[in-house]
Amino acid sequence: MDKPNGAAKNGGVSRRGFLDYFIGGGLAALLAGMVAPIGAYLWPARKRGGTQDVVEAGQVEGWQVGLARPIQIGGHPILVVRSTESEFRAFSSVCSHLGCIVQWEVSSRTFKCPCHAGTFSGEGKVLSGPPPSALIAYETFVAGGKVNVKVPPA
Amino acid sequence: MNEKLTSMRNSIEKFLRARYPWDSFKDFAAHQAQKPLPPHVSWWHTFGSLALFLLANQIVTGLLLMAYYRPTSDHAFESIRFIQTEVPAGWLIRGLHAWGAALMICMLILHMIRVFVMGGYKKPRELTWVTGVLLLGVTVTFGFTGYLLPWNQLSYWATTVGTEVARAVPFVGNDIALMLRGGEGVSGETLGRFYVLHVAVLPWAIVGLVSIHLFLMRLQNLATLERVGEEQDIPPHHAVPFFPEHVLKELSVFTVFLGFLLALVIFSPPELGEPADPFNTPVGIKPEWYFLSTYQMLKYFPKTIGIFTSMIPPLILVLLPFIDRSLERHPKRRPLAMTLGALALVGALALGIVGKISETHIRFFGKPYEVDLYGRWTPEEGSAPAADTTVSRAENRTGSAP
Amino acid sequence: MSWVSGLAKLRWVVSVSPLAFIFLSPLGSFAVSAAPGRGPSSCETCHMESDSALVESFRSSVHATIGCHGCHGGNPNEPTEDAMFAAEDFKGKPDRKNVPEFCGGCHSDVRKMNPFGLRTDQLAQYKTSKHGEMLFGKGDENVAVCIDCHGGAHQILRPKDPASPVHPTNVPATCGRCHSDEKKMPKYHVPATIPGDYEKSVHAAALRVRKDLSAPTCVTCHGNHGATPPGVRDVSEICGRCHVREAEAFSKSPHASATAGGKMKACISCHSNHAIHHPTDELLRTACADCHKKADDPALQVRDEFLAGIGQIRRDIDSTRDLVQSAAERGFEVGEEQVRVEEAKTAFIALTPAQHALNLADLSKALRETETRQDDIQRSIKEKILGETVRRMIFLPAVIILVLLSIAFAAKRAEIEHSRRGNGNGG
Repeated sequence: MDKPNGAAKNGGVSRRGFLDYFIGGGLAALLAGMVAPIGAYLWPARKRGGTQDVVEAGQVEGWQVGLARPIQIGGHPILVVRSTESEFRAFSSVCSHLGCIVQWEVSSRTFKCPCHAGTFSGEGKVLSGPPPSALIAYETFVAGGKVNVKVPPA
Repeated sequence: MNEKLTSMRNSIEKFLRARYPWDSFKDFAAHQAQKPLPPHVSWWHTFGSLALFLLANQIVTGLLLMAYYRPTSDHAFESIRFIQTEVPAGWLIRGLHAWGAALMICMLILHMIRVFVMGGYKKPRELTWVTGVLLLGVTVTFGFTGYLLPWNQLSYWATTVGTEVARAVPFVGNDIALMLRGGEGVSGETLGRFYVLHVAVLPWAIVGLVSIHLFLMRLQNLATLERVGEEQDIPPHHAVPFFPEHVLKELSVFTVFLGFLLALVIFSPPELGEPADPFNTPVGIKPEWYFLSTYQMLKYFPKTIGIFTSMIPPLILVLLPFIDRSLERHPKRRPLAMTLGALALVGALALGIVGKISETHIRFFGKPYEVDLYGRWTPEEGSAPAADTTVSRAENRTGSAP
Repeated sequence: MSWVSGLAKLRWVVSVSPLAFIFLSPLGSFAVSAAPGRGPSSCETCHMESDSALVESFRSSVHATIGCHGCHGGNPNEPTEDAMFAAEDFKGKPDRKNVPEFCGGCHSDVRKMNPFGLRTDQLAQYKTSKHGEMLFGKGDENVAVCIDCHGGAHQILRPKDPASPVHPTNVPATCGRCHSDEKKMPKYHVPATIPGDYEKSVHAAALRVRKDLSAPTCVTCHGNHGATPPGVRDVSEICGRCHVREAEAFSKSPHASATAGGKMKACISCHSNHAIHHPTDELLRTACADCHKKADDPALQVRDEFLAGIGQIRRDIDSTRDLVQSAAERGFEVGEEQVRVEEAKTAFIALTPAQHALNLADLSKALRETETRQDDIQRSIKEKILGETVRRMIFLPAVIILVLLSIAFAAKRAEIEHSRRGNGNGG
């Protein structure tokens, strides 16, 4: 790179030296600023990575039979119920009537909607009240001591 | 330290020299770097290289997005949401890709205007211009295919409307639409097709075209402002060496431009929108801004005539060097071409603005107006639009607009 | 469900078999075993000539399998008129006033109805109804008997058949055939406007617009066979069968004792009976003043507090929802907040029944709860948006560096250009 060697002004050498260093450092910083986000981006955000096909609902251990745990997937509330020792059921907790959030009643093992007294069985079927259809069910499976819910709904 | 580096460099060069015509490679590179550019090379000449930078940006960010994006109708939206909200710096990568696409088209248009004004497309550089217009076409196709990929309401319905245009082609229109969509409507099949085009087919096309474009540009050097056939040799001391002088100019513009791009990404991030819902048509679907003028123009014509009319401007663009064969390059000596070009530009802008405000409610000097499909505006009486007019407008749109 | 799949099977059979009508029976298996070798009975053969429409409609009715003789008696194997007149059990056409007993011959017989899983109390119920009282007590034959509602003597369909006049969607029109007749009704001092009123109601909207077959029709409140208007005292019970929580809250309200004292007609006083509109704030605004006429009535202050409170909660929820929605569209992860907005909405909808207790303490509790909820949601959204502020804070130094670098590049270029020019001039 033979730069044209013109007549430098007085003191130009040191100014030019500074300018060269600044440009060199700036280019290096620019490059680093471009590479750093790429590295961060490629670093796995979640250990299992990727978008959600399966959402964890919690540990099997310590989950009493008959109890429900709420989870949410993309703003959609879901109730996961341990119905027997080996069986977990997951339902959308949005009532099929007017979209209220149903609650799990442990004593009667039913889902109760507080808005219009709709009742759903532990299988999500309508038992009484105005809901026109059953609760949307999600598939579940247990892996590695954890309960998993598959999305989208089965 | 320095000696060691020099000796290492020498031994590598020795290795290469023994096997390849290394010195002629070096000469070629040095020649290219030192390439003297005409003295009138100005700041306006940096648009092209900004577009080239944006292409590189699109390739890099695009590759990164592909790492998380899933091209199926079930997962596309969710994967974009994941990139945007959970992947570290995902918002940055997606923002750069989305804004980079829009700015790339901006830069191509500015570059094209610069070449038009300076008469750079004239003999002997006609084919450089033609490849440039093709590049704009490929880039716009990139935009069209890429817009669908987030699979949100806007992209779904804009693509539905966009592919519907193809139906207006006589005889084979329906088959073209079917082929584009991979089915009767926009579906997961469409997404698959668009994805393949966007990440595999078009990238090769654009890289190939850019190579030809740059090769021709380097081969024939930049045009001067002299009359065709009367170009003078550039006096050596007036020539601007490509490196480092012009490169520094480009870097200087580039850094500011990068700041501008970052500002857009941070202060106006691309929205996620709502997931595509084929059963729920939103009111007033608009295509991306670079299609707005065509979109608005199509409304004024019957379908078949419209589609052919919309083919005229790109056709004129491609054939421009063969239509305008006057020998003058300097804009001051080409009043007719400048006037026509300015008129075309103003026309396209006006159509685009009308397209933008059509089917909306705007305030102009504090008064509310309702703008209809064709851009006619009527003052509004009340503040809230009546519900039934919204419905009839929606019907009107699906009925007559492409 | 099994009925629907049965129907699908039937459709297939109809398309392939000329004897398909035989399968249109409540007991498909019985029909299949009986079908081979059974041609049309002699009744059908003769009556086909005199009245083919009658026979055709009977063949597609639910009673097709029991044959004409199942109701009318006679001998279906005798080809001459002896089939009727020689048979001891031949009944012919019953008088109108005998129709209920005629149908009840089978339908009150537990042995006969059991295989079909049908109830047998219809006749008994009918006798308690206004229709039955008029027919049996006063000998008024203008009142409805079985066949008037069930589609005529011969074309009776299952109630679940959408073509049946007693299918939920058809009940209002079926009752309305008489009850909206302005010539028939004045005699009984019943307004003929009732079916029309019902069509304006929220119940009719649920039935017609939402296609909700469980939506109440005339018979849901008035009973079907035992059609008697509910007394005032029964109103809160009858409405409360579906509106459980409203009734529960109402029983705790000061209006409960007013109703018991006969000063108020329970639900009807505010909601009317047949033209029940979707209750809005407007109802609350107007209905109270119907009874609480004095301007300084303290009841009206309670009303105003409810109106203000409900409006406040609604505005809070709307603004929070908008905030969450805009954050979602901007690409923030707001799933948790979206669920909490839904919960807040649920609590608000649940407040609607609760307000029937007219308890201001309940209202202020609900207000407090929504407020805390809204605050929580808004705070967590704002924390998420703060993440964006960090991006903005990074932006400023980045841009400063970029601009400085740009100036440096420009300076370097100018320097090189200057020296090149100098060189050129010198050379």
